[in-house]
Amino acid sequence: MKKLKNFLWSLFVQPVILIAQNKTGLVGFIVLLIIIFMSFVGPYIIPLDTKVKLDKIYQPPSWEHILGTDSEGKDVFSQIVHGGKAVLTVAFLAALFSTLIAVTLGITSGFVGGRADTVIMFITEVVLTIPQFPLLAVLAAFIRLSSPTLLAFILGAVSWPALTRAIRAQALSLRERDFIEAAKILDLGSFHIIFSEILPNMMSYITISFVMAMTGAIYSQVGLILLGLVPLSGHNWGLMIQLAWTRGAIFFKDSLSYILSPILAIVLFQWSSVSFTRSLEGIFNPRLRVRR
Amino acid sequence: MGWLVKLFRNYVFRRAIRAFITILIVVTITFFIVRLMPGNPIEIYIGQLMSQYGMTFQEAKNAAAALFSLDLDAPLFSQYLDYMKNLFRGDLGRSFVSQGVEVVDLIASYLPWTLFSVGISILLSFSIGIALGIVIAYKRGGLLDQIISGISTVLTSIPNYLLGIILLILLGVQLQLIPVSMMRGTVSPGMKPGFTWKFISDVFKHAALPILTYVLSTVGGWILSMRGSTLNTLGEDFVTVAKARGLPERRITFTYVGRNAILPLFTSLTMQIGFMMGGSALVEFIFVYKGVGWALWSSIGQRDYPVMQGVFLIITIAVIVANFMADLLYGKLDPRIKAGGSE
Amino acid sequence: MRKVVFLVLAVLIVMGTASMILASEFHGAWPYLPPPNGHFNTFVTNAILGASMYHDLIEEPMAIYYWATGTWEPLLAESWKLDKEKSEFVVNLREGVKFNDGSELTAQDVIDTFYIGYLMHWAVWRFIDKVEAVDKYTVKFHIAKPAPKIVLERYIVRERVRAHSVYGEFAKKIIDLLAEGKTRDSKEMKDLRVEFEKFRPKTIVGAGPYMIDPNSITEAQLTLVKFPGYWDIKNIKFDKVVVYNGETPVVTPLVMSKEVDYATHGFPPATEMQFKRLGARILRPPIYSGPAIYFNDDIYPFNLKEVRQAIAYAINKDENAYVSLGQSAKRCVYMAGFSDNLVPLWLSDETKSKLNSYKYDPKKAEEILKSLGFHRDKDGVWVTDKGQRMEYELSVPAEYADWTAAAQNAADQLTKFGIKVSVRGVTYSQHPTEVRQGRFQMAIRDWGAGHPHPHFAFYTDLVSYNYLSGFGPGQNFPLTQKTKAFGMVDLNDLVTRSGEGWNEEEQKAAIEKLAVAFNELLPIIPLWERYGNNPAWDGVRVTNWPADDDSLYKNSPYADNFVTLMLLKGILEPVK
Repeated sequence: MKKLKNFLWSLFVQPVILIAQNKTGLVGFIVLLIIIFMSFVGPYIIPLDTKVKLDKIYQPPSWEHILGTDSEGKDVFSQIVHGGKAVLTVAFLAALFSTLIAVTLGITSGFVGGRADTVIMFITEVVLTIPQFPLLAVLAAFIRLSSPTLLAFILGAVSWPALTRAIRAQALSLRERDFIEAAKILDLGSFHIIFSEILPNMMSYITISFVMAMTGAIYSQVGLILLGLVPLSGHNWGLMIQLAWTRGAIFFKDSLSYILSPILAIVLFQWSSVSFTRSLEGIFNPRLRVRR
Repeated sequence: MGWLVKLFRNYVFRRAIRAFITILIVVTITFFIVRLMPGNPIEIYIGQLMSQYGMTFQEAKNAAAALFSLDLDAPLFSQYLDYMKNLFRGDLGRSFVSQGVEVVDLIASYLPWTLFSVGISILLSFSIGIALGIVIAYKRGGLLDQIISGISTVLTSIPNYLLGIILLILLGVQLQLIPVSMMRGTVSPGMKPGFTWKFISDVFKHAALPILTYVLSTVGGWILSMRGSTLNTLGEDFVTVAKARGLPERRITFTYVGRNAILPLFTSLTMQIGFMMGGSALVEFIFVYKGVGWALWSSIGQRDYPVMQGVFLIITIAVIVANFMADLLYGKLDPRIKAGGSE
Repeated sequence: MRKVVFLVLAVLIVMGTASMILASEFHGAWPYLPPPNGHFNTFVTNAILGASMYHDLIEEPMAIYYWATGTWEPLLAESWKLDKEKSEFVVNLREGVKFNDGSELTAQDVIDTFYIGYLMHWAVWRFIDKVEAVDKYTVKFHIAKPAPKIVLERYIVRERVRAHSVYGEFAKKIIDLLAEGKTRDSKEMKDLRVEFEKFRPKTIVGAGPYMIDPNSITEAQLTLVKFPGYWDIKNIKFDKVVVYNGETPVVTPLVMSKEVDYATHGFPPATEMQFKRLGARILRPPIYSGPAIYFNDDIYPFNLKEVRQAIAYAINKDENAYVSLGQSAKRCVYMAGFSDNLVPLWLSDETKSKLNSYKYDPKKAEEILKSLGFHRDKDGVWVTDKGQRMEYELSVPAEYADWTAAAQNAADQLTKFGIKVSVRGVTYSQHPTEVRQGRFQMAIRDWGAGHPHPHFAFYTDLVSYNYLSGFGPGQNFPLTQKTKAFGMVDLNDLVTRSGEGWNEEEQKAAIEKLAVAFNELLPIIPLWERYGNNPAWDGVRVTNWPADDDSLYKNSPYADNFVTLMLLKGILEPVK
């Protein structure tokens, strides 16, 4: 019984306490939760406004429409609520794929070295330098996607090389450190060395790269939509920005909220993620905890 | 014979060979991908003839057939071999769409502007980024950290072309500080190129907005990355030791923390320098700036294969060479890493 | 005495500087490619300002057209005559006209222009087979294939005259080859063509009022300066025309900051609203074409005209027009396959009364589908009599803001009605090819054409994207069809006949028949007609813009731009 209690404590309560230790991290965490809630649960609560209202085109924010209306008179706020799910799912998965691949390959390449390093780096460079736009255009001619996982996979598959090289560089440098030498001498096993010694030291960099990868994936999705890989329908913050841009919403005072709202959503998402990583810094890198 | 063996054992030589082979492979893949893209220059040309000259489809097709038959009839593989042969002689071919214009000339006239504007931007952005990154890492949690991190986050989450247009409207239309026409293009009309103060200052004036846009959209990334990397380094024992030794704060920051924290960013920097050759199509589009990104974008739209391949070639070579340099220089920057990394 | 001299000098200096400062300028905008891609060979693509409203100001045409009245403004040609018996079209050129390089305009310039046009596969050579000089200022075109007068006029006198001093050498080679019996298909001619494509004159030599200042060209803008030797110089009131480069979003800030006086770009409604708020006038000339829903007839049930008609009834086109382009989009009332603006000029009242407007009527749409044996599925989606659910994909060029807005709105409306439509973007340079190859289910493409003769509109609607194009099956809409009005009709034959032959009555009859057949068969559904939303600043540098109801504004801005006309005739004036 006590074991269960301890387990639950360390799984749920302790992290929250750790997160709360950093004020910014806590605020970020809360905002992130709100955004996720709004995007995944919100659509069931707030219906999407699909009614075209010709007399209410490009209304500035008002009590009736908190974020104003779009080019067809539809409420922008409801579109923001519905537009997060697809975007965030794909962005998270894409960043996850690409970061996982990058970390795995980067650490292997840097730590293990030798033949593996040469081969991995060779493949990395080739994938890095293949021109992405033509590649995606060719892909668009042959496939049609609707599954977010597949879309995330494609996005992840083209973006891992850059991070891989950076991780490899860090691994190379860490490999020669004293504490690694010590661990080796103590025969602690490569697995332990990688997970308990090397990874925690790179965590700050990895987390920030993960967040940037998510934002990158949000905008790359739009490119894929325009190429025709993905249908032009559906609600999606990145697509909202693109449509608002082509409709000139940035030039007209009353339509500013139409283009700024999705941008604000993405900005808030990124800001809250970045802030949240502050807390993660504390969790992953115990030395930082003490430093406060 | 012995020297040959020694040569092959040499890391630098092997790495160079690897770089060269990589370039060859990527150029080959690019050649075929570009031609696999839906649409080809003939169809696009036909479309242009129809809309610009009001020809019917059949007329446009006849007009196009006369023009393109030479280049695109041969089987793909022999076209590839021709291309590679010419490549080794330094001949990048001629534009399909602008007949008679050598791709080398095209690139030569657009590339310097991109190198200039993006180059300065990378320099500025990186310098400001690492400086501020270290500062807020030291002051982690403080007000400065919050503000700068916050601004950095906001800036990197806005697409760069939107930043550009916002600046354009803010400065040119709303505040009317600079005439919009001054913010467009690489030089003012009638400027004679030369090492005169007049010309140079004009170039800088026109490059100011694109540079500002690039810097604003990338500096946040450097700040946050440097902050993260510095935090990793700060927790290290050698830093504690250095402090215990009573070394001056300044020395610790630059020689110990700074040098170590920069390392992971260094690979990103060299890669960015490599990719810089591709310019930024969207920013150049907004500011009508005559750079390589602009040329690449219009060549893609018209499926002008030789120009596309020419630009991609430059980017490929630049990135691979940059990575090569980075690998070689790791050893210099971080003595713990033997040059040759893991070999 | 000294005082007087001093005063006079001062006044002269002030006037001198004032006139320098007050050099009157007109600022416009047009996309072009700067050198080395852009060049001055105006027969070849990527010529700087080629085929634009500004091109007419440099290489002046022989005449320009007034769409409202159907009359011409003679420019380099003073008069012309079509002699149907002799199959000759004779043009009398204006005497004493100078090109901007000093050479004089003669028949030879026109002959050279058209023979190079032969090399370049110009459409006019479908109808003519010889161009020769009768005397120094008279040119005779021999008509090999008869065509309506307006069609011949637009091919011949609307053409810009190039200078013999620049193109004479090439033209001579072409004429010589033809004399030897070598046509366009011969090897020599093809080689000449390849060579000509690379020909790069140093500048554009034209007989128009303005010439390009080569020192002023940057990738962002260029300047045209007044040609003092222009034949009608007294009407030219602006010293300079500055043309800014760029597509719509790039030109918008220039209009907002009043640095551009007039632009023809397709500005989206939001931008237009901001322009209006800032005080600009918005001119709305008809474009005579617009977006339409094209169907792939290989897909059942799109081959049934009743289904297409039902879809037409199911879409509220007024709403679709307004959300796409605001006041610059108007639902097609006559649904005749060509512009409502031209209908009164071509169709009799009797014919007009036969045309169905397909006004928004979802009940009627429902009736029609039910009468075919279709029924609604549990979730409200229609199912055909063959048991297929009606779910389709509508493809549209991703970069066209107004067309994507129309596509999304139409898709939403149809989905609400029970026909599930999703939208897919295709890059604009790719889309026409995909449609022509038949790789689509439903697609947004253009209906109509910017030409006063409806033959061209029907060509677009029925032939251009169909199986006869040579590119592929396209719509695969059979051109011989059974109609309620006429029984069997051969639409391809009608389209051809409407644009050929001397008998204007026959052509008109063909057009009338085509209109009724189109209206009944509805192979495509025209959604709305596009009008320009050209911003114009009155009072910054330019003034005296005519009132909104002036007939000049009936000119298509992309065919016979009214601003070009107004600059040529001195209607627009600089602000004092």
